[in-house]
Amino acid sequence: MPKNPPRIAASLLRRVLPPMDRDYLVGDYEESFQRKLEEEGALSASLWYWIQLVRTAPEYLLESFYWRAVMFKNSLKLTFRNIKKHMINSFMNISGLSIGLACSLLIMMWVQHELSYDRFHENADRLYRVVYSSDDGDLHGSYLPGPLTAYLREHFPEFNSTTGFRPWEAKIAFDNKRFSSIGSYVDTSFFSMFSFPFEKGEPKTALSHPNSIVITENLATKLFGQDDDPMGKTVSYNSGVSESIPLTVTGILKDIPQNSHIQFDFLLSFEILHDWMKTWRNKNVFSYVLLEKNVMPEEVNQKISGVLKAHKYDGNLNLYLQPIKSIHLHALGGGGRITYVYIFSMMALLVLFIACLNFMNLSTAQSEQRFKEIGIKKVVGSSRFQLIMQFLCESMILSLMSLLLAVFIAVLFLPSLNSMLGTQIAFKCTPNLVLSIIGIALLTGAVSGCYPAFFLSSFHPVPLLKGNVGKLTKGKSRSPLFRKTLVIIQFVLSVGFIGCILFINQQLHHMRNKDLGFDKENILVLKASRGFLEKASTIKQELLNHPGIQSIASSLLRIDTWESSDFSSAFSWSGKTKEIEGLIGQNWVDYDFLKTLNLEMTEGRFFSREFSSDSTDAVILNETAVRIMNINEPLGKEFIFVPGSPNERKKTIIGVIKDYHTESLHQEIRPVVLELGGGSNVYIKLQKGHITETLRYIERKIKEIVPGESFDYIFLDEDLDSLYKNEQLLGKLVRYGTLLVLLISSVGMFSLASFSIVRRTKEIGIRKLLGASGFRIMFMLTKDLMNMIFLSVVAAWPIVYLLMKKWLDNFAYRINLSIWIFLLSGLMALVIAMLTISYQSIRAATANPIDSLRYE
Amino acid sequence: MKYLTRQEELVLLSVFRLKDNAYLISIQDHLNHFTGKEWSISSVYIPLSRLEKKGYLKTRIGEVTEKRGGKAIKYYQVTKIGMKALAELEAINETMWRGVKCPKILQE
Repeated sequence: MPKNPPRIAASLLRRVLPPMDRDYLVGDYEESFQRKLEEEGALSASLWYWIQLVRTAPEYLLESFYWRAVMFKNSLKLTFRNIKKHMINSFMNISGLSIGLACSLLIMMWVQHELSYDRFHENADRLYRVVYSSDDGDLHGSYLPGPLTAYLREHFPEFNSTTGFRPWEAKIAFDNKRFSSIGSYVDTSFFSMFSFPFEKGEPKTALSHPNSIVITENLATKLFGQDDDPMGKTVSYNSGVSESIPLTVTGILKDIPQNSHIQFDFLLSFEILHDWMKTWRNKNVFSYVLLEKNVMPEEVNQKISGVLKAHKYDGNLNLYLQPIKSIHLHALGGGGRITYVYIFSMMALLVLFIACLNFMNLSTAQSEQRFKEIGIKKVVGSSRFQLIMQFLCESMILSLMSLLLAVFIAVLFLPSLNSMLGTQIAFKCTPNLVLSIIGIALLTGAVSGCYPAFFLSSFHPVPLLKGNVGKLTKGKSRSPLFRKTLVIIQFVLSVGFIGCILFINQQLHHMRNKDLGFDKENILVLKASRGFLEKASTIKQELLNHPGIQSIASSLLRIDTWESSDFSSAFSWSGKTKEIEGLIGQNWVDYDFLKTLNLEMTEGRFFSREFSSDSTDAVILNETAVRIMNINEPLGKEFIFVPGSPNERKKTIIGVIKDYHTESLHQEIRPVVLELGGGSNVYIKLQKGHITETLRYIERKIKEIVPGESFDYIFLDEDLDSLYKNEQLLGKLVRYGTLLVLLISSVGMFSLASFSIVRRTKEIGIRKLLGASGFRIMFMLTKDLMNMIFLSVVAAWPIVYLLMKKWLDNFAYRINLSIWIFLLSGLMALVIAMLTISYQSIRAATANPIDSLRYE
Repeated sequence: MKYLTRQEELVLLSVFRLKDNAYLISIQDHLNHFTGKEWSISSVYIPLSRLEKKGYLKTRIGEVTEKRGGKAIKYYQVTKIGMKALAELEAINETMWRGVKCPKILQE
């Protein structure tokens, strides 16, 4: 009785044998086994069988890899032939995908840059900044009293070390070279907390002596040149508010990386901090702390929250810790750059998504031209799996090709992205980046290739080969629902983007052109220094001599950029009948304030030199204040500041000024009271024309009268624009997004239209032969598409409405969501679609029917 | 003609020599006998399958026997192109050896 080979080995062997010849080979092994059995016995035969398995299995496996590689090579060859054969289509496909990929590549680099902020510190996980919030959570801030850091260090063992950080712009001089640069006062523990590497010098002792200074390589080169060794040299330091002092250079730092939220060129000892910054009364120093290991920040928050209150500094401020890693992205009290990281990432995904849809759509549409190929492959014995793999492989190759183009596009557009966002991202090929973009490209290829792959491989080969395509899609419409859906999704997004950008533009335009209640054209704003203010009247006289200067005024607070915290005075008035909530904003202005800024009075008069009592006993309210106070005849009534406190002051209301905007248009106008005074914000109204010449005159005069005064100015309208920086950035982003989405969907539509026209060439020819007009045929060709566009427009409108309503809610003064804009967005999408397909439809409609019918 | 590997050459020649009785085990025996080396089944099969794919060999499915565990036998036969390849090989070998002799020492 014949013995069988060892069962496990036999089944293993079956697995590695090539499927084509498996049965015969098993037989061959069996035969050899039987022979061994007869000659040498059971044990040795079994052993032999096992050895055969171990020795030969790798060879079979290698062989199967060999054939797979051969197949892959074949697939590759086919892919390239296909790309070449459908040149235009492939180009459309690749360009669509590469735009999507380039977009996501750029955004990925940016996001990576944003997320990398402050992570390079060794102790980044334990580093925190001390910040405060008010009891009601409205007010947040990070400037704190100077003595706080030392206090925290001494009283709380949870802190490993703490350092103050007081940025300061100062002049540093060596020999005859003088540079104005930004640096900071820090404690000696600064270097043990943060990881800013030293080029030269000893971190531990660098700032232990008060008269030492640590500078960055950049500043060192500027001051001492390339060759000189700056260590131990003495520089003269002028903080601008006191006499110059000599400081010894004790360390050179490597330049501060851009992804650090603290930037500086030099560091000084906290010891020489100006005295007025060392009191608990002022808030102007940042506090950074390094927690001990295993200390939870929440525990510390509870302990330190009352520290400010304990020093009777401010009644309602609570301290808490903010992780250093979140400072850059998260604004205190919510929001911040992280919003843009989200918006950007969303946009990248959307664009990539649309590009994928495009790709799917095009490959499926193209499929009919490949029915023969698929049919023959199936007949010759290719399995469905093999076909799917071939198509996937094809789309991945296409997406890798797009990636090459995408990298090129990204490198091209990186500088403009940088300038738009104010960043300095460099194209660095880190292994992480390379791997992830290749990953994204492959994933994109797989996602966009999977539908065509499954769709194309699903057909029965016989009708494919007979060219009987009609049978395949029997019962389905000519272009399957799936593809229609894809086109509709693309168009919904396009219309959505168009609608959003129209509304955003309108709101931006509205904000820029809204009458703010004061003039903003040709008004120069200067930030006056102490020296300037001392000689203000002389300067004013000198300047007014120039014909190009109409008038000059000043105020303590800038007229346009108030913050919520500026409305903080309690007030009352004579004849007050009911309690009111809320505080009033105070500003001190001079006599020419009204004239210079072209404000208007509604009642009474403005401050005037003719009334000497104005400087002590007069206030002017704005309309909103009067309305809130609800008094009919405000003139002559008594206005009381901080009622019931030792600082209570009483003044007479002499006029009511027409409402003007003190804040951005996000906010309603709030009550304001003006007193006579003035301050460091100087407004100079210029005559139109010759502005550069006038500016030069002003600069010369100011420098003449106040030597050493810098002439930093801004125009009021530019200053106002800066209030809407975020909105403008959003506008830009959405504009680019719209452009990309439209571009990609147009590319898709273009090739889709050309496919459907090629497919219907004969039909068009016959129709023309039977007497259809060119217009009729145009209509027929575009009808399908128009239907889809209408559908997507209708689907997009509610989305736009909801999004924009939410966005506009941020503004107290906003545009209406007018129906016209909705209609316009739809119309624009329609026109763009028409333009994209018109070329081909016109060509098809005007073609000579003979040409399309001659060949069979 | 593409050049064959040494293994393919020997296997092709064996199939030719064995005439109607060329199947894996017989080829293996044949090769073992002539080369004096141990050929494993896979090392015979892989050249065989490649030759088959190249069109040098055709196959015929034979009888089922009990000593083969109930599996059919697969016989190989040299095709016309295979013959051509063999002829070419022979010619090349002959022309290349003509007029030279391997030194005795190395032959041993």
